[in-house]
Amino acid sequence: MSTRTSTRGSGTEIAGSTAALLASRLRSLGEQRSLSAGLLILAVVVFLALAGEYLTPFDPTLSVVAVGGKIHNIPPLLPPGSTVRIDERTELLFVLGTDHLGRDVLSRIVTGARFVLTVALVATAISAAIGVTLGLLSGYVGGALDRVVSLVMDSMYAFPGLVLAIAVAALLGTGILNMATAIAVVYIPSYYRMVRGAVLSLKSLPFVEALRVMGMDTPSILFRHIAPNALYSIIAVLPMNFADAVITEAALSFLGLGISPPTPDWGYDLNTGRRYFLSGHWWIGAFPGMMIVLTVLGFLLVGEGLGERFNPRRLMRR
Amino acid sequence: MEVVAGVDLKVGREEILGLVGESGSGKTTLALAVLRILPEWGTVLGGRILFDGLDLLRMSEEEMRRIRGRRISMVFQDPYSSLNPTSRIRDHFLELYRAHYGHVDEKEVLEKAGTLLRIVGVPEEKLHDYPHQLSGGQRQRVAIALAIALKPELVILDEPTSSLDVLVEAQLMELFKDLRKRERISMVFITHNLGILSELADRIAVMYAGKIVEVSPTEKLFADPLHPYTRALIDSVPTIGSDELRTISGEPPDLRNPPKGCRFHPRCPFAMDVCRVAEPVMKDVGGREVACHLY
Repeated sequence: MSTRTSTRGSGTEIAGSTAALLASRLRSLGEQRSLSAGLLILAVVVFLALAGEYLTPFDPTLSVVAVGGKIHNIPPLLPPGSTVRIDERTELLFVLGTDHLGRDVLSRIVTGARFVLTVALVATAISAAIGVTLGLLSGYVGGALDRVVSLVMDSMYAFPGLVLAIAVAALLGTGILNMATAIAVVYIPSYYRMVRGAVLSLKSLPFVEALRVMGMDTPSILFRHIAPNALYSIIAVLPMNFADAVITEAALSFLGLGISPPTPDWGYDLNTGRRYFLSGHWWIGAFPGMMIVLTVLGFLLVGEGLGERFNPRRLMRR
Repeated sequence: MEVVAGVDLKVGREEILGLVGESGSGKTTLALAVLRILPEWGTVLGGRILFDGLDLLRMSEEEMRRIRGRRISMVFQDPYSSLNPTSRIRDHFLELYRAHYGHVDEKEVLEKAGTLLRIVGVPEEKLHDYPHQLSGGQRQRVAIALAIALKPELVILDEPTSSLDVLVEAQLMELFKDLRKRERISMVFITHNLGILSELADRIAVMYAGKIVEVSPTEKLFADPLHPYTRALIDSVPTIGSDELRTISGEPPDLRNPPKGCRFHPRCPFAMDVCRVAEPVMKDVGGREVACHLY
């Protein structure tokens, strides 16, 4: 942004450039904000996933509580903010209420972060690794390989994501790795397409020709020079796919293809809570649902912030 | 379609050969063919490319890779996109040395790179910058430094100054003259601007529609152009004091369907009947070569 003035109509010119300056400042602040807000949300969620049961007031899988060496049953379906008096000295507070089996909802959503995040992380890693490698190879090598891989990827892409994930999950069974694989399969084509497209446009750029003229061999050109340029497009998409993976994981758990009870999981709890909405016990499903929304929001904000930051066009400028 | 045909060119040791022609006349294609980096849809159908007694067309891809950058290198037209935007300048040098010598001592290479940057006139500290932090002229200087880093015998310069402003162009021309004295390399200087070759090139080859039409020592070419096309090219350089801007009438031919006989005949003011039927062959005219029925 320049502060140069023009000889004619300098008053409006200055006002115009000040406004433009202000707008660009605001915009960069806005990007900054979406990135830092997203990172803050994610930091909290990741902290929950790591610390888990050390933070919870109650055991998330039990409907009983031990006070003074004696086991007490927790009443089910307590609304948020309820207190239960055990004896004269102890009164237990259930901030977010209890579910249909008398388990503390707060404890469950705190510990529920771990499973969903692990699955989403592993799924994103698997799909990115496979998708990016295939995209690089098929984009650069071209020919028959490109055609075959593209055909397979396009047919995978044509499937509705969730249906494909359900099919693979049903085939593989439950468990962290199986679920992650089922979700990963859905996202491989999107990485593949993006990287392949980037490689196709990159490989015709003069710098690739220049590298060949320098005597560079093909693997070095592809993995050391084209790949870093192609990965810009991925950086912004990673968090978004991560967010998508969280939703898909929740959906799979919701459908009973995820984790086996009583392990706390947002998707599973949302599904359970669904049955109690109509009877007015909204808190059982609402809070896990909100956690899913919040986590996804966090990833999307980070994705957007990163996308703006690493936009190659913005980097190239200046 | 045949883009470049029947080209017979020699470059001597420590010689600068200018290769001039209109856009689309096949100058770049010829250069890419020499280095065997034609795009997928292009192939060399026949002929020989001899370099120091080696036939480049018969070499394996790996042997060819070793030659590129080390014995023959090239500088491209567009400095804005001929460096990898995600690698720093230092990494470009490191990669070049690694490609040819395997594992290299980083410090040693950076020292050499610093010296090279000084030679081409780029501040040494730019070594640690990314390409976008350099100006177009600086980037082209870096590209030149990379091209001469491994002391190649031949450097092909493909319109290295066409996308830069005239001031930078003049500086670069000085640099090339300086490099030729200092590094003793042969150069092929490809351009569409005949004027800038007058001071630099020893000999000039004129290319029209994929064919070499004239090869002459520089002074003779400017003083007494033989081929009508060369003459027209020299006449079309605007001069101060003349109001008239001379152009060559007509358009360059469509290479998918080139004219029969001499490819220049539809635009040639001296065209004769024979030009429309027979393709002229290279003739020796007083130590110069020309492909024209007039001689």
